[in-house]
Amino acid sequence: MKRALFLLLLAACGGSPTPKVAPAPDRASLACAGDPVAKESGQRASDLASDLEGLPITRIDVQGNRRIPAEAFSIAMSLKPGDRLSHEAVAKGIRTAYEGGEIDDVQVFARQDGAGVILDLVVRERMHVAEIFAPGIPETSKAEMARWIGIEKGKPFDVADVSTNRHQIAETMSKRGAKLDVRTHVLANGELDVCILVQQ
Amino acid sequence: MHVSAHAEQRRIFDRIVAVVDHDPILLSELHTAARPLLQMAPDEGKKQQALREMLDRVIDGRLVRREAAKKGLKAADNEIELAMDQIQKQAGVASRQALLDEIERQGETIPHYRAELEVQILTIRLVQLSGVKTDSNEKFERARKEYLERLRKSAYIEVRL
Repeated sequence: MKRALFLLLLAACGGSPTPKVAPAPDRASLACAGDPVAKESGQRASDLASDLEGLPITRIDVQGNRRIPAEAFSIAMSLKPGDRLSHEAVAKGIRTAYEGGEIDDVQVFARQDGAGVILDLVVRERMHVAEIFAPGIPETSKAEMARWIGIEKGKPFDVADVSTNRHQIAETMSKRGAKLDVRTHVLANGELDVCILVQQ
Repeated sequence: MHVSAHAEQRRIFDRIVAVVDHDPILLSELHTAARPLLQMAPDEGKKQQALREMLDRVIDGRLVRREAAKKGLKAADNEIELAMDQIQKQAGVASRQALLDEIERQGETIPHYRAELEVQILTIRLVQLSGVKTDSNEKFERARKEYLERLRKSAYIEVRL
């Protein structure tokens, strides 16, 4: 431990003869070299457990939530133990949760539990914008551009809004010979950094 | 942890299969729309294909309804009735009740069938309004496909099937 501290001290003083290590990329570089704003893809189960319709719900479990408390989902989706399971109620609940703006996806799984049914709500919360980068663009223009694109620091990142807005702005900009790209880099805590790239 | 061989596996009850702008389409909705096709599908592969095909139609239906609403277009009840009269005539079915029975026998629900007809009527109106000459079935079909393609390009569509 002492040896490690000594080496660190040497490195900090610039006296270390050890070979140079490439610096870790900063967040702006990671965001700007990140993924283009893209739609989700992938195959999932498509058979419905409709045979469980009508059974009383005995328990509701929530998975995948980070910021939003589990109880908030059952309240927002108007589902509670004791209710009879119905496609109409679940569909309405999924729509309400999605339209709230904080949720990207809700999958409702069911499994029989004696004479009742346990519901698993597997949710994916919308990521929040941690930081917005826009290399080469003045701060005031960056803020205006972010507003046009539909991104705001600390707010949920709405891929539908961002894609649509980006497409419309990019079309206008291309007439002036400029290119617009929006890239993202996902952080570990349910947040993402966004990079606005403008090329003349 | 010991899990009983008889333990019930969780199965999907409902989920989002597509998003058209901010309008989610649910798997239960898709199953209702695809019921006649699913009934005829002999295996899992064909069922998946039926769901994918029907999802395209449901997405187009959403786009058409939205565009029609923007333009203030509606399909009146009597227009849907007229369309059903034509179908009855073309199918050579003796009465309206016999037609409804046949529709239900194929796994379709009457409200959904009428909603499909409504979308078809609205699509015809929108294509006609776009100003494209459609004096033959082939020309109309081409114009319809091109129109729907334009609608799709103007929207954010995310498929999660």
